[in-house]
Amino acid sequence: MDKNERKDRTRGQVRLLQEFYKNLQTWEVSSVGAWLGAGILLSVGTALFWIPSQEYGGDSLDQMMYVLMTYLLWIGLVLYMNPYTTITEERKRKSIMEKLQYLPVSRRSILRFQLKKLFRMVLILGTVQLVGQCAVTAIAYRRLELRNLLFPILLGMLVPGVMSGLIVVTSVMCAKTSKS
Amino acid sequence: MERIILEFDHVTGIFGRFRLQDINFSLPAGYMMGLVGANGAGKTTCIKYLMQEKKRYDGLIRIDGVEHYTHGTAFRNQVGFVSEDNAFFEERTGSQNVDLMRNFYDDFDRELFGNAMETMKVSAAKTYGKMSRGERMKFQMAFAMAHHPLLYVLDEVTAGMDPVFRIDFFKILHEVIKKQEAAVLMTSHIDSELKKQMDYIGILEQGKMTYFGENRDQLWE
Repeated sequence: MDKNERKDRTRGQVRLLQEFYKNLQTWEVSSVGAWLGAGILLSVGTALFWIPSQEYGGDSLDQMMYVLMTYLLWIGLVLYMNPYTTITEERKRKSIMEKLQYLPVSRRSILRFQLKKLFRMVLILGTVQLVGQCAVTAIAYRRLELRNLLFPILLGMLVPGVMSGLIVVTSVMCAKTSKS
Repeated sequence: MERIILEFDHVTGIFGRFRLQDINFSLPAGYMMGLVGANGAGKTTCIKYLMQEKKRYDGLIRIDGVEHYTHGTAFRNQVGFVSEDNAFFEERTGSQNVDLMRNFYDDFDRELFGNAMETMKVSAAKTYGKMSRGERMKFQMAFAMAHHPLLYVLDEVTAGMDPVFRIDFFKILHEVIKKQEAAVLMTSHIDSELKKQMDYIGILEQGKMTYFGENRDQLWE
């Protein structure tokens, strides 16, 4: 199979995965819970990024604030991705890879699908943070500085996005699948 | 010329602490092969090499003449895998499992699945987690048949099936492989059924294939 065939096949499998997850999550109660939790954490984390970065100095309290905001977003993203990476059976969380391992769908396709979902959410959140940060800062301070752009991009998008992305990659590529 | 469905061509590899050495055999269409050996002989390793996405061995495995590794997971369309290792959704019914998974296959026949489940007397409305071992194997067999594979890989399938159905199971299998021009690779600890039902036997001992050929009475003495 050449590179183009593989690319086409991956795209096709991503579409099938879309359909698969749509059907799966129709029945999964735990998905609703995970998304509710994710919604709360991501909303709070995003709202905190609307506070103009000029309000933060360099003291330890402010640094803790940065960590908290990033952490809320990171955990929120992990919860958001939970229904795509795991499934609950017999009250235990199991990797979705256990169910997909012998189907004609590659790990590459599964990873592509999951990362697409994740980065779409990161982009939406980042945009909301950036717009909010700039709008509130412009109203309160009547000026914008470079840090008003960097603050949400680095701490609101890049750091939590990369950290959640690593978890997704690990869950797909390193999942222990075979029982024997 | 016979169509070769499965070919192991000097397959050698290490799987954990286990080493498989220079496995060679060819299985033509319309035939069943039993893979025999004591626990730890390498039967499961051969199957893992066949079913895993990454190539963790030297040598070649071909399905219908095509090296299976180069086609990534596409080859799984051509393999019907029935094993305890094959996980389905425990809290979904047989039908729901089919609805979730059938779209991944190029050619899945829902009607054929239904007919096969009826023949094997298993209800598709039963939750997979509540099926007995024998029922799960029957469900997996029906699922496999529905996507028209070239190769059936059956790993300890008949353990747990009632003895009466076991006879019918092999009749169904023979009919299917003749009709679909498929082949069967099977592992089992039940010597009597390997002796009666298999066309070819491969004997594994400590990772080496010490015999591959037609099933003969002398092998079982």
